[in-house]
Amino acid sequence: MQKQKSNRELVSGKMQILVFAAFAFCCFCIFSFYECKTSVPSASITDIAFSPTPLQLKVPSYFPPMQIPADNPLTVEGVALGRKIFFDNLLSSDLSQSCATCHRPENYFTDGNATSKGVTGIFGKRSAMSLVNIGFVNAGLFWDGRVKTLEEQALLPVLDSIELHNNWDAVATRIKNNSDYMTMFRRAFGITTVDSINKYLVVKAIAQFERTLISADAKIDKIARKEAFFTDDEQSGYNLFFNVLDAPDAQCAHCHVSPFYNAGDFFNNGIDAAKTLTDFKDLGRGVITLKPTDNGKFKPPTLRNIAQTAPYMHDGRFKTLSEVLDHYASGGHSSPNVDPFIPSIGTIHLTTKQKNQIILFLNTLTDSSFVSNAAFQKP
Amino acid sequence: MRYFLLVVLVISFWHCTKQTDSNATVNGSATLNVQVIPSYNNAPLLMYKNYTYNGKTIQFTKFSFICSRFCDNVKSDCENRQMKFDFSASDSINALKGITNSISISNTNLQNLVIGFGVDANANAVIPAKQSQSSPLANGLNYWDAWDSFIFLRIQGMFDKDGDGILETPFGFDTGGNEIYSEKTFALNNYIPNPNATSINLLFNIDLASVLNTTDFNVITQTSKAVDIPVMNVLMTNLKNALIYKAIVIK
Repeated sequence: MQKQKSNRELVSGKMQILVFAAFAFCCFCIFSFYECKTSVPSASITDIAFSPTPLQLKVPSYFPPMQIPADNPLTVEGVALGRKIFFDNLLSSDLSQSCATCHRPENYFTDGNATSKGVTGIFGKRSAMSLVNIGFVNAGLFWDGRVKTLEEQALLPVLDSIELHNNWDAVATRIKNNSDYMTMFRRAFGITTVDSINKYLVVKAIAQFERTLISADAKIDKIARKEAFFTDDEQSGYNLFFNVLDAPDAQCAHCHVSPFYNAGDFFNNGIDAAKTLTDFKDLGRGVITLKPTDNGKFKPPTLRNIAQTAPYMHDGRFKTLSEVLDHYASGGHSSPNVDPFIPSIGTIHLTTKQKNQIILFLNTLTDSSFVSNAAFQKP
Repeated sequence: MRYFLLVVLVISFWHCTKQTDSNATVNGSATLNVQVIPSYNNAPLLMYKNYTYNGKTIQFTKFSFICSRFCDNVKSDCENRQMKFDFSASDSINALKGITNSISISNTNLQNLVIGFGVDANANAVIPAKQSQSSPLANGLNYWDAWDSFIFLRIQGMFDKDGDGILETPFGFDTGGNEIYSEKTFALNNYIPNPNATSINLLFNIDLASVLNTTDFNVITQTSKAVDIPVMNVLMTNLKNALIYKAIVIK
């Protein structure tokens, strides 16, 4: 009996050793597999040369210098990586959308919609802004100026539940599992392990690509270079826009200053009526500064290529430039902080001809070479 | 342990020394801080607040001006840089702080200070894109293409012209152009020369009612063309006279 028990104990002991050995073997395999997965590519990554090529932007003399963060200088490799990510649907939770869904090259990096539909089918409340010359914007991005840099900006749409509705860990994991990206990150940023890829490097790359989106070959640029001249009607439109000579002051240039025809400030352009400062449907800038007097104010968008980037206003309510001009010519809607120049426009009673002349001038801001630029297309 | 404490002590001492060095004067230069506190008829100036002008209600949405040069009394040493005073406060706390701008100056001997109102012809001939990025002149919003000039002074708001209690009349007095640039010498009373000064803080007040002074809203509500230069000149003269030097603190 005792012998039988002893045999059973012996067998049981052997079994325990076997189970333990098997467990240890499994652990070893898993550990080895994990090590292989991370360290082998890492070793191969460092074999790839890291010698980024500085990229010098071609900027007209009448453009200000672009302020590029010291920790994210432009390189050929960084821009190429940013371009690939910009067009890659891996940014969205269901792999259906990328930055380029709402910022299409063929639409001058807008999407042609009043507001944009995210991955869950819900529309956002504001229109996708054009990214043309976005690298020169220093006074806040988005319609309400909520972030200062393109790097900060690129962090947000991925997380927005009605845009790409994703999280950065998921994006980073997808990127890490793509050998092309590993190579490109190595070439752009000199990473030494796959784990070095993170959201901050991703947005740096996107920002680098966005800084290359320079539009500077419209008719207005050719005129600046003395290669072209305004027609009479375009000149009249220019005079109205900038209040030159005896033309009535259409007051446009208070918010749209050259060379980008935007402004580093926020304005209430009379787009909505409000009895009090809290009555605006969209509080705009006020949400960011928490100053009631900033409620209902938005950033004036660039007017470069404006004829090609309908619809207009922060909510895309106007389908044509004529509708925009009609709005301003009416003097806009009343509210406690409407910019005083908006009702001023109403007092000059712009004629249909004058409005058309302003639109003809705005057409001179269209740079058709921009949309056909191969460097801005999906790689 | 004793050695460890010694090392910590040495590092701390080195750290302190470095901090002190960073505040020290380099080649006799100092920081000139110019603080301007705005008011309207001696009350704090708040944007979007109703005031009375010529017996009628007025509200301001913008008040800003650009100063430049900053020379000593004999103009031998001009700091040819610019400051923009942009008064946007809509609450008393911030309004009472005013706006402070700072520049580095190499001459701390400032019994008198010459200030330019607007920018001189040389600076005015350079478009925003070509200005130093640290200057307010680099901001295109401060430039008016039609004049080829920076906007020296900006006063904008709404006025109740017909006196019915409704602010129905927008006004916008923007001024600029080489013709209206001028300078004024401020005697810095109580100034004690200190070659070791690291900062010179000047306090000024400006009353917007004095800037508008006699501007008649029945005659003009906007200045933006060459024909408006006489009115712009009056406003710039008023601005010069309205900027009152109050105090100096030298450290």
